[in-house]
Amino acid sequence: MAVPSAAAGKDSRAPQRPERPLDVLLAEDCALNALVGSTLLEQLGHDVTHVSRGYDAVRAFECEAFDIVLLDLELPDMPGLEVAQRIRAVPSRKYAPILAVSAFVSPERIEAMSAHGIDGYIEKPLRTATLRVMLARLMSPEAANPASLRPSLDPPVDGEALLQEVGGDRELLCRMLQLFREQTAKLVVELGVGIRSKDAQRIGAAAHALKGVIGNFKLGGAYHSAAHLEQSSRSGQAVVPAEYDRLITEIGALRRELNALEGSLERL
Amino acid sequence: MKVLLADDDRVFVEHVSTRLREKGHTVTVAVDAMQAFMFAMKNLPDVIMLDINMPGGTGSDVLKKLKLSAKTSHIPVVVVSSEQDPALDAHVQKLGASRFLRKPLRFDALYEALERQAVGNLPK
Repeated sequence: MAVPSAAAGKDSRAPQRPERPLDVLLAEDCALNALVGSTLLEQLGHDVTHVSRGYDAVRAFECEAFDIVLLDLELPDMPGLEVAQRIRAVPSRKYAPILAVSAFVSPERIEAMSAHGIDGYIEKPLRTATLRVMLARLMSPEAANPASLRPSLDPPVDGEALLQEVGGDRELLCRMLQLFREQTAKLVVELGVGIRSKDAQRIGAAAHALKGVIGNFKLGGAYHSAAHLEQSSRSGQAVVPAEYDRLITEIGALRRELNALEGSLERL
Repeated sequence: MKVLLADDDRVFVEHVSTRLREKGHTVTVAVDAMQAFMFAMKNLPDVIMLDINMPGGTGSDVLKKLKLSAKTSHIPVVVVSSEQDPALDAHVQKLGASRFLRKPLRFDALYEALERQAVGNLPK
């Protein structure tokens, strides 16, 4: 996956202390979503300025130095990606990460977000835990270092939510993680065979199974890439090698992330 | 309750079967379509969870066979699928499914559906 382009070349950001109240610009047109977003952000101790249109978001950003922008990608007056691009074009004293909020995420969209200077995304509906983790990640000193290449815009795996979903049974979660490693390894081989032999049915079946296995843990880039591969193989489109490569990279990243989660399970 | 889980996603099956057993239920697992039908005939579960995409024939075929057989036609079937096809819900209900749930799926939602369907099927 492409590195967020906007992260490069702007090194004037001072390292942020965690737990600091942030000035957040929230661009969201749906009143209910805006209320939910503002409430969650205020509960986390942040100050929120809310706007409903893309034009107003750009204007607000020109007038005030926000720490971070929460941008709904489906605004009525301007495509969300264009809003992001215009915000990036505003000369500002410090770099403000843009966190996109969207109900429609696909591999192409993640790449487009990255290319338009968006630093991360969250899928709707908003959840406090995900929002808190994403804010912490985007505002961390590591994220402020332009040399640190973030491989993905994905929200991280929510370990607490996962543990809760398996009824707090750590052993069960470990067995599921072991099966995840075995099954993805097997299915990636199967997918590779399908692609080399141009067997659409085999590709579709392997991508479908991968999507299912991944979906047990996280709906991020890997999940959407597998779903996309399944879709294109079933509709008779030729699989582009780059799609396969992207899925493999994303599965690798997810595997590393889940391995790290397994290592930290005792602390959850 | 006696539950038959028919799904080839081993991670999902490990999760659901463990949680159901922890709650005191009896679980049988089938990982392909043929097994699903065989185990249903043999064990006569109170409720069946059936993934519509499985190797070795489709889940639709299994569902049809279950509903055609006098031994199994009364067993409620909760169909699960990660297919995005919006017509699938109506399609499986037409074939006799009691419920349709889309994956990814929270355990609590699945459990509630299985329990509700099984209750109507338990011997009085």
